[in-house]
Amino acid sequence: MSDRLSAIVGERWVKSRPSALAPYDADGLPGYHATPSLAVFPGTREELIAVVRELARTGTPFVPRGAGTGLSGGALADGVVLIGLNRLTRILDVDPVNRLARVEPGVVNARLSRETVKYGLHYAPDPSSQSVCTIGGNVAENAGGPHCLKYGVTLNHVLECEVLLPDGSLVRLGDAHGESEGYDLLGTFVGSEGCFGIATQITVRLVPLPDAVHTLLADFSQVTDAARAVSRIIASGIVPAALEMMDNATIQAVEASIYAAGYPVDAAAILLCEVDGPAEGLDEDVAIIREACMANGARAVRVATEAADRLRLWQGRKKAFGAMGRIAPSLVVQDAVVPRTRLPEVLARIDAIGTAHGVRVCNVFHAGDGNLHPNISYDARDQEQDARVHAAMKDIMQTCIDAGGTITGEHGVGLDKIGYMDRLFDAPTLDAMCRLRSVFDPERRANPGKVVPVHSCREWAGVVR
Amino acid sequence: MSNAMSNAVSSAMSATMSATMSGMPNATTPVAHLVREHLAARRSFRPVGSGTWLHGGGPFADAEPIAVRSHHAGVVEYEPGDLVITVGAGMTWRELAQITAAHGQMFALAPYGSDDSTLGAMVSTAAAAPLALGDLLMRDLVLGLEVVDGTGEVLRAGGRVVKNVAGFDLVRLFTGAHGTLGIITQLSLRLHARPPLDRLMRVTMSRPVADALAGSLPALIAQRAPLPLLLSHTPGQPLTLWARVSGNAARVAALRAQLAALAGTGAHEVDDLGDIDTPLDACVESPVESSGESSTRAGSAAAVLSPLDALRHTPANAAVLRLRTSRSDALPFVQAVHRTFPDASWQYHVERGSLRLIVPHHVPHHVPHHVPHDVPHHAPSHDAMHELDTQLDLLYHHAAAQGAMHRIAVAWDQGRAVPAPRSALDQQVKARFDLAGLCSPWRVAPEVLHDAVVHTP
Repeated sequence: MSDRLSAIVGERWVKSRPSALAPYDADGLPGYHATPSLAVFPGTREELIAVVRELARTGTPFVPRGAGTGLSGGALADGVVLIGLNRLTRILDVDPVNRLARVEPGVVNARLSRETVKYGLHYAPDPSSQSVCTIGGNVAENAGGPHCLKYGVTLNHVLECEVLLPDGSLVRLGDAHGESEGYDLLGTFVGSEGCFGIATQITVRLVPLPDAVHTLLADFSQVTDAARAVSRIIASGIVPAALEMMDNATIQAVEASIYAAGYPVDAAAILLCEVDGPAEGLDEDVAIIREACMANGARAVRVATEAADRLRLWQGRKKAFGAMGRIAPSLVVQDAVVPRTRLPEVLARIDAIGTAHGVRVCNVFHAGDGNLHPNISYDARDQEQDARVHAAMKDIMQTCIDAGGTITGEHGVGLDKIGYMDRLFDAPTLDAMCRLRSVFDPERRANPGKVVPVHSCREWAGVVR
Repeated sequence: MSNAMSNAVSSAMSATMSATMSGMPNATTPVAHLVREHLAARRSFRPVGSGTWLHGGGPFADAEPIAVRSHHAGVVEYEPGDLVITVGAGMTWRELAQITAAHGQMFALAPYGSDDSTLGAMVSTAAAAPLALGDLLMRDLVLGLEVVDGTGEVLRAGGRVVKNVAGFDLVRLFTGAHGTLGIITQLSLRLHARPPLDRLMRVTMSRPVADALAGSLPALIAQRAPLPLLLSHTPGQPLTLWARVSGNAARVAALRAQLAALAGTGAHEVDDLGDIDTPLDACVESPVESSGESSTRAGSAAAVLSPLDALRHTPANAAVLRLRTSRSDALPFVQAVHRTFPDASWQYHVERGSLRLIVPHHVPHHVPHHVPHDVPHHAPSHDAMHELDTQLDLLYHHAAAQGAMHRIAVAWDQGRAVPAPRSALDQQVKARFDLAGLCSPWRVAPEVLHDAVVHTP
């Protein structure tokens, strides 16, 4: 296999020695390691197609991988071929009139925004890893980000994909210009975590940059007050561009790091709220949000209008995970969603779970969407610690399910959450997901063993229906 | 919907409903039971809501209707603070609007057609809507579904939270599937809080239509403000620009000023028509030609249409098409439409680059005998279809002659015809969710649109 793939991409771009494969044995999820049988890095669309056709010919399973920043173990390849897409980095077209860009899957998220700013446009979904993560990976995970509260997640920004199916055939899903016919297969492809095939070309929507942006920092002495303020802001009819919450543990970690943003270190929680749009009317929105915060017990509200101030406030938020990384060797960044009104009780419950298991949970999350990120810094090499962290995570997930929420809002199921799928969905629904996957990948060779537990797929479990 | 009406209904409802409602255990059982009966007897079936679906362009497959409304029409759960509501698929848009208005909330869009259409039908057809809040689409607003699929299984897809990537996305699969993969019985929808102001504004352009298009379209395409825009034309009337202007007073004033500039020279001043759902004085003419008896308004309690309702109205005996092309081709495209279909009304959705074309007088010469009783009998005749075919050819020719660079996609409006599964993947989906081929069997698309995607020369 190695020779045949080398013939396609060149010897240099096929890695098979254990030392060369070591960098690919993990993604952003700590504590999980799996080594691919080999890793191949096609340099062009044509090479990628030839590689996948060779794998199809030989019935070989594979795992696509972008930058490897995923947080659910989705890019781990356990004894199968890993296809690295990070050499496919061309921005193929930017069409400023139609506000579209067509890109290869390995284009880094933030680069697309940087290259389109000259047209006054940007690519809106902004996961915290945007400085390194790829658009292809974003499509696979249906990635979110702070500004998805107003602008929508990846799904809302992808208009068309050319998809290489696991059998090596190419299909076009969606339509960048016209009406798309038939079923919304593009909608099902986005977020399919590499199990439906590989997007070889992606057409995304570009969004005009807002004329003006104001960022508020509200400081609370109670977490529940901050959560109530969130509900009040959303109920006002203002749709903030972003509405983020950070708890004291997170604030401490950020302020002790090089990303120190000037957050009040004695606050129980802060809200970072951004409004954008035409300059007219922004001050009025800011006034309403300030009032919503003060009425719910905020100690102070600071407003940043200058770009440098705003950047500093956001740097602390976006690099919070890095700041937590300083505390201990491993950081698990969890992801779950609860109905917004349940935030106060769920946050209290998470705190209690942390205490019960002797782990410190830092919360930094998309409060406006009810999308939680409870994070735990620990040492994954210490088995006893690792067990306690996993027990705490399990309790947190169950709490979110019980509150009417879901186990992932933007990071995907991957390997990490697959054990919770049975708790969230009943057997017929999981089987329906398997049926949908079979449409794209009947041999289930693309990213095997992820997202839906195999035992819930009747067809694959050999049950005759 | 009028405010007065919503207030009356909401006060009546508040007596019987609390903010959070629950109930209807095993809500799918009746429909699942019916589907399984049909499967066992190998009888084909199709979901039916209020029967206001805009059918046309037969022939129709002979499939027995399964009534969703009689089984699943109530609120299952509504926690206003979450801005999410879970309801039976048989609930009508009007009922949803009344329930949410009582809490200062709304569903972001009001699809074309009747307020009495069911939400199940609107989601099944991924119904298009004029002037949706934030230009949102149906696909953006459906969070979870309960579906009886074509194999008789009850599926619970998605959830009741606004962000959710757990598992493969069955919600997107069933949204817009036209009931061909199963019957939606329950939906969780994303709601929006009413902005402080949510106004419908109108600018009438006094210049001849072709001049007014040339004078306004380039600016409309280039505009960057968050402003849902619709350009409408009715024969014999001036070109009209509509906008949904939302936000606080300062923002609304600023956007209104921008709107005036966008309409170009020779435009009248901006009319603020009030809240987006306020009825206009009865003397104001409907912006869409109403030929013959309304197919979608019959029996409606609303004697006075709001301007938005008037835009959503679809006259009987008309062929309604949805055309779409690149925004960069907007000017040659819309001008070609205007030139090719001088008797038609149309509305151009600026953000999407799509145009809703209402070609009047497609009176059927004969009604196929097997048209189900609940389908309005206005399927275009073969002669009318042939004429439309010729006109579309002319449209492509005109658009290309005026410099259009991209292809124009043409499709029937919602529910007019279920597209046959053209791609191999679509056929695979159909086979896996409707193994027996009994669920809303594919209807044959009208001849003219067999190849709906036509390239400009």
